Amino acid sequence: MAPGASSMLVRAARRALASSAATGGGAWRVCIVGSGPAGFYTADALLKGSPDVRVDILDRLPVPFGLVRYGVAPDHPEVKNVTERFTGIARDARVRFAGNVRVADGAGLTVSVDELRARYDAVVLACGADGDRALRLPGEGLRGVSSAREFVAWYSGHPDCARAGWDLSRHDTAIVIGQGNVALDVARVLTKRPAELASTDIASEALAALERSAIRRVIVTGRRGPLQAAFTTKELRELSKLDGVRLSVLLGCNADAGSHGTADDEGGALSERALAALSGEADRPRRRQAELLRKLWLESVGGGGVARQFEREIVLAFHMQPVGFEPAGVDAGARAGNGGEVAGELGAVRFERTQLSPDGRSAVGTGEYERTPCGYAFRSIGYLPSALPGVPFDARRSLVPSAHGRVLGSADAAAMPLPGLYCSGWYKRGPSGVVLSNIGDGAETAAAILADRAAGTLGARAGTDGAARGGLDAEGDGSLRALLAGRGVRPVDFAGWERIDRHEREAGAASGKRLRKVVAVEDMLRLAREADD
Amino acid sequence: MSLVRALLTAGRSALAERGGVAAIRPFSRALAQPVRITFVDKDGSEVPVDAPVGKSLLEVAHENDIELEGACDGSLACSTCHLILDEVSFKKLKAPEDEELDMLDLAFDLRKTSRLGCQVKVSPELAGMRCQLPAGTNDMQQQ
Repeated sequence: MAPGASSMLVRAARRALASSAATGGGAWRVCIVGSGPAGFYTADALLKGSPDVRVDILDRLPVPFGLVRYGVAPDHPEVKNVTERFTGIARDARVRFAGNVRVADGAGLTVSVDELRARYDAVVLACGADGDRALRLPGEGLRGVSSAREFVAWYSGHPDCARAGWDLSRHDTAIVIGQGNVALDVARVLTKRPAELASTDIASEALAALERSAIRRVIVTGRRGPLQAAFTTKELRELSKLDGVRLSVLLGCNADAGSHGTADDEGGALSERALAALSGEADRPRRRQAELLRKLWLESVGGGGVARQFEREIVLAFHMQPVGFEPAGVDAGARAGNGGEVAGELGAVRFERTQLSPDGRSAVGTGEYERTPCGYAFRSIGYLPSALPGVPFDARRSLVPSAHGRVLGSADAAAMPLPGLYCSGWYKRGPSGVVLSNIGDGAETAAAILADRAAGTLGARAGTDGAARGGLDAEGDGSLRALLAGRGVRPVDFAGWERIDRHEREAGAASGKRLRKVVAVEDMLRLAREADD
Repeated sequence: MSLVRALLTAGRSALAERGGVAAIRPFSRALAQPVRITFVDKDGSEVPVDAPVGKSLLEVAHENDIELEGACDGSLACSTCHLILDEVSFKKLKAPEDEELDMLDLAFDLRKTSRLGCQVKVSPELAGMRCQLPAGTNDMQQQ
C-alpha cells in the first residue's frame, strides 16, 4: 500500500478510537488551571493523544481565553481568531470548562492545588503570569508611573483593572520603558487615531480617555541596541505604517533634544557592514528586522523624503537605561538618586546612556546621564508568574521549577518531579513568546503526562482512594463539583460563557463595535446564569 | 498513471474507512482539474491529495485532515500554517510579501522555501508539489 494511504489509515483509526472511547469506561482525568492559549493547546494535545481522557479547564474569571481576550490588542482582531479553535476544543465531549473558580490556598471561595491533585490523575498549571516586574527605582511610586500590563488590561476591559483608569489629557509626552511587543502595543494604542479603535472591542472607558488624550509623543526606550530589541518585525512594521504617526529611530542619543546621530557615526549596529554579517539562513529573521530598522533610522536621520503631516510621533530610543523618576516641579539639575520617598506627579525620567557589553548580552552604563521630561511612564519589562500555595516556586527566576512540563520538587537541579503536577505556557517557561509558542509547549507537557500514564506513575500520584476522585462531571462526594458546591462556588460552564459572548456581540453590533465587553464580574455571572435562574 | 490511480484508490478507501466525505471532491465540482500535491508529515509519511485549484494550502490541508494549525484562520496574523515547499514549486510562486515574511520569521524550522499555507493558492503549475510540515514545534523546550 502507498505510504500516504497507510498514514491516512492510521489517522482514520486514531480518530475512530477517539470518538468511540469518549463515553466509554476507563476514563482518566486531567485538570488544567487556566484557560488561555497554554491551557487550550495542552488540552488539545491530550485529547489527540488519549481517547479516554477527560479534561476539566478552570479559570478564575467567568470567561475563558486568558491573554487572547485580555492581552492581544483590540486592533489585532485577526490574532483573536484562535478563539474559534479553542471553542472547538471546549466543545469536545471530553472537555468541561469551569470559569469563576479561583485556585489559591483553598480558603474562602478558592480551591487549592492539593485539593485538585487529590481529585485528578494530573493537574496542569497553565495560569500564566499575572504580576509584573518592577524597576525598583527612586520615584517609581510617582503618579504617572504605571505598568504597561495594567494599562493593557485596562484597555482590554479586564475586571481587575476596570477602576484603574488613566487620565491621558494632562501631558503631551509618554515614555515606555522596555521594547517588547507589549511596549509597542502601548505606543500604538496611545498614538493611533481613536476613530480607528472605535470599532474594536476596546473598553469604552479607555476609548473615551484616548479621545481626550493630550499625548503627542511616545518614546519607547531600551537598555540595549537595535539588534537586541524584543519586539517582532511585524509589530515594528505596523508601527511604521500608522496614519498620521511619525516613527523615528534613535541610536542612543538624547531623545529630548531630538538628535539622531549620523549615518557614519558609531551607530554601527545598523551599518551595512553589520547587516552583511547577518547573512546566514538562520539569521534571516534578525537580518530582516535590522534592515527595517536601518531603513527607518535613515529616514529619521534624513528627515524623510516626503513631507507628511504628522499628528503624533513614536520614538524608538536605544541604549537608554532608566535610573530614576523625578517629580514635576523639580529643576533639571536635581538628582533622583537620593533614595528618599518622592511624592507627587511624574515630571521626567532620568536615563543613563549605555553601551553593549562585548558579548552583547547586557547594557553597560557609560556615566552619561540625561533627563527626559514626560507626564506618563509605562514600565514594560516583563510579566511575572505568581507563586501558588502548595507549588514550589523559584523566587530568583520567578518561575515554577520544571523539566519538560513536570513540576519539580524544588529549584535544586537534582530535584525530582512532583507526582501528577505539570505546568504549561508562561507558568512553565516564563513570560515570553507568542500565541503559537504554546502549541509546541502544550504538546510537550501533554507528552510528559501521557508518558507518565503509560509508565503507570500517574495512579500512585493522586488520591489513593479511587472513589474520592472526580472532576466537574462526577457525582461523588469527593468530586471537584461537590467540593465547589460545598464552598458556595458556582462555576460558569462553557454554555454560560457562550451566553456572555452572545450578549457582547449583540451589544457590540448595536454600538458599531466588534463586540462590547462585559467588564464587571457580577455582570458576567448574571448573564451566564440567565438561563438557569 | 496507474500509480496515481492506485494512490487515489488507496486514499479513497482510507477515507471511506473513517467515514470521511469531503476530503476528495468530485472532479466535476472544480472548474479546473484538481492538482495532485503531497503533504509530508512530521514523521516523514506522505499524504497525496487532490487539491482544487484556487484553494489555499491551509484549506486543502484541513479538508484532508492534515494537522496544520491555522490559528488565525488565514488572516496573516500567525505562522502556524508554515509549510516547507520543494524548491522547484517555491520558485514558481510569486515571492512572498513582507507581511508574510514577518510572520514566517516567527516560525519554527524556517527554511529558504518556507511559506504560509494560507497565502499559497493551488494552481495547475503546482502539480507534483511537495509540502513538508515543519519539524520542531514539539522540540521547543527551552531548559
